[in-house]
This record gives sequence, structure tokens and C-alpha cells, in this order.
Amino acid sequence: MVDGSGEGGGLDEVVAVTQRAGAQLRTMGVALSPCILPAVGTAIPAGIR
Amino acid sequence: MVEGILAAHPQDLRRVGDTRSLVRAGAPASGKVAIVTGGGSGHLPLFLGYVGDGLCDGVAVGNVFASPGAEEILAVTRAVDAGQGVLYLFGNYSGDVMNFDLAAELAGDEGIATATVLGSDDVASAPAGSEARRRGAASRA
Repeated sequence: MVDGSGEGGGLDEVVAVTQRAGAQLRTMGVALSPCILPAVGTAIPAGIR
Repeated sequence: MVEGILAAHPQDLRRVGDTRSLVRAGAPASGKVAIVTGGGSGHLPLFLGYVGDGLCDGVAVGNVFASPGAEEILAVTRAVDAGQGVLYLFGNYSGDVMNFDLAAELAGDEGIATATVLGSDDVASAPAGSEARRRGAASRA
């Protein structure tokens, strides 16, 4: 556990742990509303999406 | 863009110079590898939520739908490095990859060791067999 107590692993070990965790992760996202660019202020029109 | 979270959590977060980027209060945390994340702000400046004690040490916050610049990433890297090296952990997006790679080169010139792990967990962005091409979504958590 890397907690700032000085007992964490070195950079190579942190990389290995992170890669191992990442290799076991899968996600799936769903958008419930269309994207709004702040500069535009409204949703992208349906014809363009 | 980040004034609100700084006002809400002044004991936990600190701004890096005059940039949008944030590091945990007390950075650099001595005796440990630092972890830096970052990305654009298309979905709020989302990644700054990963910064804190026991989480990432710093975040480079990009503009809306744009990667943070290499100079911003480098500034965060300097602010969190405790001499143990810095892990760059961010999603697999081309702009972020380009700028984090550039920052890694610049950090190396200053004697700061870095390594990169890309989040590529989003199954909808590339099929099985092409996992490395997938984009990153939630895997930094």
C-alpha cells in the first residue's frame, strides 16, 4: 500500500501493480443526454449527431 | 474553472502556480512514488477528483475537450516528485498520450524519472483482441 509513510514500492513496482489492475478492468459508458459545448450552450442538433 | 473545488477543499488541494492544475496539499509526499493523472475537461474537470491522500498526487487539467499542455504536466510533475519517480496514469487518448510523452521527456531532462500506464478499459471503443486500442474511462479510480 502506497500511503505516504515511506513504505510504498519503487516506480517499477508501482507500474507493475497498476498494469495488473488495469488489465483486469472493463467499463462501459452510456450517455443519458447529448453533449453540450459550453461555447455553444445547446445540444448538438440531431441532424449532425 | 477550479476555484470552486479549491475553496471547498483548501486543506486537501493546492494549485500549481497560476495553472489550472492541482496537487494534494503537502506535495511532494516524501518517500513515495508520485502519481499524476490528467486530461481534458469535456466531462467537468473530472480527473481532479482523483487527487488526494491515498489517491493521485496531482492532476493536469486541460481545457474543454483538450489535453493539458506538456508544460502544465511538467509543472505538476515537478510539484509532486519526491525523488522516487512519477507514474503518469491517464486514459488512452491521442492528445493526452502526446503531451504526457513530451512532459516525460522534459522531466527526464531534469532528472525526474517517469513511467506511463494507460487506462484502456472502455470495451465499447475497440473489440476483444485489440484491448490496447481501447480508450480509458473509469480505470483511474
